[in-house]
Amino acid sequence: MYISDFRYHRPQTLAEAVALLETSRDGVLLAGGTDLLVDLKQGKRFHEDVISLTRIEELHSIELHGDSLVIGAAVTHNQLIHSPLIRQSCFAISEAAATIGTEQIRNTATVGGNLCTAASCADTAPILIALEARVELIGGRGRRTLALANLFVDHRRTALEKCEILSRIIVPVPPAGTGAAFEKFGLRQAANISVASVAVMVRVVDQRCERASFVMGAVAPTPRISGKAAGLVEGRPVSQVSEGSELLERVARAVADDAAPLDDIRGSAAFRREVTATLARRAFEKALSRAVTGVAEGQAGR
Amino acid sequence: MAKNQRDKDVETTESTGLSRRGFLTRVGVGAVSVAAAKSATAQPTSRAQALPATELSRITLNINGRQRQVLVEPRWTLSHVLREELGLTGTKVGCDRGECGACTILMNGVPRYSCLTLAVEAEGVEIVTVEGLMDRENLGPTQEAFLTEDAFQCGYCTSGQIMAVEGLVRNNPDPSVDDIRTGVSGNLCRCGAYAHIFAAAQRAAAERQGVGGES
Ligand SMILES: Cc1cc2nc3c(=O)[nH]c(=O)nc-3n(C[C@H](O)[C@H](O)[C@H](O)COP(=O)(O)OP(=O)(O)OC[C@H]3O[C@@H](n4cnc5c(N)ncnc54)[C@H](O)[C@@H]3O)c2cc1C
Ligand code: FES
Ligand code: FES
Repeated sequence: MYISDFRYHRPQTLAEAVALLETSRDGVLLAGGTDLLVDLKQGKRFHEDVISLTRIEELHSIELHGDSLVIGAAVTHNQLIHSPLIRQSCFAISEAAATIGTEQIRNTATVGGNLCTAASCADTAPILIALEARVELIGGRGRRTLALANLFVDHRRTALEKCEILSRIIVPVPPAGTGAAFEKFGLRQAANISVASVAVMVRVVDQRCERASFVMGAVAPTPRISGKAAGLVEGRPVSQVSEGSELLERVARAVADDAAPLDDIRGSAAFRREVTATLARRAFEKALSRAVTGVAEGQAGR
Repeated sequence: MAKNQRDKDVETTESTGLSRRGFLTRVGVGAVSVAAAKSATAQPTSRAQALPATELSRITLNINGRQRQVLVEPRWTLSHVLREELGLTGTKVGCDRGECGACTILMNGVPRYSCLTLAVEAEGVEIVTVEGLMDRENLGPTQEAFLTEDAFQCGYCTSGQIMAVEGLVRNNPDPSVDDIRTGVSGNLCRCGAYAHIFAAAQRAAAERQGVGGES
């Protein structure tokens, strides 16, 4: 397939990459390229300058800094899946990454690319938002951080300024008693684009749900937080929201009510809403059980 | 949470060099990055490499253990360069957009789509194509397993399937049936030879462990 001409740049530092963005008329960053190259091949976008992130070393590491997990923007989905640090401290991130694309895609595509494409169905966004992640953006005027939830402005639109780079994702390591989970529904098992997805985080202190967060994907132009559902759960004893409870049913409906789904080729709005309720229930049950037992099944991994 | 809030704890990040199945096999990229993050407004230096849009540039690709110098345009994909510039036509192109897996190769030991990778991005990476599994004129064990299990019909998807299985068994010596399904889930077979492909993957894993051959 034809790709039109571009200059190719391979900076080795973020400073060089920012300077290249500033001097180029329409420079674009290239991470894994699984979104960008498809767009270039389909003639959806043209760029005079393509700026590769592959040689900027700091974008590729996963580290623990104090009580924050710091994930470089160019970390691939398979790195998220296999990282012992992530599996131990935030297993649900690995769980979400494992639902993305295919083996070849997961070896190539990056978490930063996933967030910056900002497709409504981006599968890393809901869980990272539920875990209260922040993102660091670096541009000509220096660096700033913002809550990941505020990065998303609209379907495929972010709060990034023209010459800004998302450098890393900062996830506070959840304290003991926290459980999180991600559930997604798609039309097949692999290369499976989300029809709807729900991430849940819940923190249990003294058998009470002290804090909860419900974040949906693919059912609104941006990832969507259900404040209503969190309000129903927070302050309740665990026993009231356990499996099969009437309250859990209301929570699941509250999540679905907060969705703003569209009809498209993957499903009608009404279907998406139904699926969202089911996913919310499942994700909450899983997150709560992880919070209570402190174990996430499959956590040990390979 | 306030926008623009500065995050003090992360200002002093140092890279611990956690392994990332790495791209960075080339020299000269170590310590500079940390300093750069602290002065994001610094001017670019000559370390940034740039290749012009409309001319051919010489790059070096490490393919099947050989360093190959090749003239490329930045916009050329790796699948194009392998097939059209280097004559390595074992790698096939089906969809040319990351959906079918026919173009699968190994990059630093893991399967990737060569149609969704620019050739210039593959500099410094160890590339293995289906030709690289041969031992002179003899088939390698994974190729042999596909032959023994009759794991193809038209054969168009086969080199991609073989490379996906090769990547799987290199990283997971004893894959379960689920691991195999996941491992080849990025490879479509229009002829529907899946059952035989799964059997070939099991055989390939067993061969590598030195227990295959019979049955
Ligand atoms: C077959 C197939 C299946 C897929 N399945 C899924 C799926 O199941 N779930 C899912 O969520 N996605 C899926 N995707 C989409 C895609 O793979 C992901 O969104 C991926 O994470 C994008 O990352 P990338 O590194 O390839 O991005 P790229 O294509 O390199 O970049 C994407 C965009 O983000 C910008 N960008 C990249 N990095 C940065 C940065 N650090 N700072 C600022 N801007 C940046 C780029 O300029 C570009 O505009 C699929 C894609 C394919 C081809
Ligand atoms: S040709 Fe590359 S995935 Fe189809
Ligand atoms: S053997 Fe024909 S496509 Fe797989």
